[in-house]
Amino acid sequence: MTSTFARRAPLLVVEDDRDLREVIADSLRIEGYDVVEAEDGADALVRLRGGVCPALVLLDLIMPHMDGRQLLSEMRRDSALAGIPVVLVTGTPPQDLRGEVFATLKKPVGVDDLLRCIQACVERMPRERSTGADPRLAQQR
Amino acid sequence: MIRSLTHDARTRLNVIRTHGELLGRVALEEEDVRRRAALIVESARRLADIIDAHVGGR
Repeated sequence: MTSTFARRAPLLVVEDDRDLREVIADSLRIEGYDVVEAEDGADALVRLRGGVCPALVLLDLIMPHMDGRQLLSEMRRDSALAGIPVVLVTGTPPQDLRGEVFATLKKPVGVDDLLRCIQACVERMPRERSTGADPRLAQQR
Repeated sequence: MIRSLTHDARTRLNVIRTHGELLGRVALEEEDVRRRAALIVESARRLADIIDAHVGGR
C-alpha cells in the first residue's frame, strides 16, 4: 500500500558557487528536508524536465551557462513547471521579478531566514503540492 | 564590474555565515568541523582579495 506521505518533495537549490550550494543543502537536510542541488540554470532545467518535482526552488540569479532569470523564464513557459514556487537568493535583488517569485532573500542569507521563507511558502501552497503543514514537504499521492 | 564584485563578495559572506551557523546548530564529526572551518578561512581570504581588488581598482 502506498503511504499518504510515500514521496517527499525535495527543495531544489540552484547555486553556482559549490561551497555555498553545499552548505545550504547540508543545512536544509539537517532540518529534515530532501534537497536536490543544481550548479546553474541549465543543470536545474535538466533536472526539472528529467522528473525532479520540487516543492520549492531556491534560485541564485547570477550564474554561468543559464542564469536565474533565464531559468525562471523557461519555467514560466513550461506548463509543467510554471506552478513551482521560486525564492530568489541573490546578492542583487531585482525589482522587476517581484511578481514572478514567492520571495527574494538577499545574500548573505541565514539558515533561519531560509527556513522561515520555506515555511511561509509551504503554508501558501495548494494542498496537492505541499501536503499540509510541512511534514518536511511530504507529497500526497 | 561592481555588480559582479558585490555578488561575489556577498556569496563569500554567505558561505562564512552559513557554515558558522551550521557549526553552531549541530554537533558534527571532528573531521567535518575541520573541513568547514577551513572553508570559512578560505572564504574569508577570498573575500579579502575581493575587497582589495575593489578598493585598489578605484
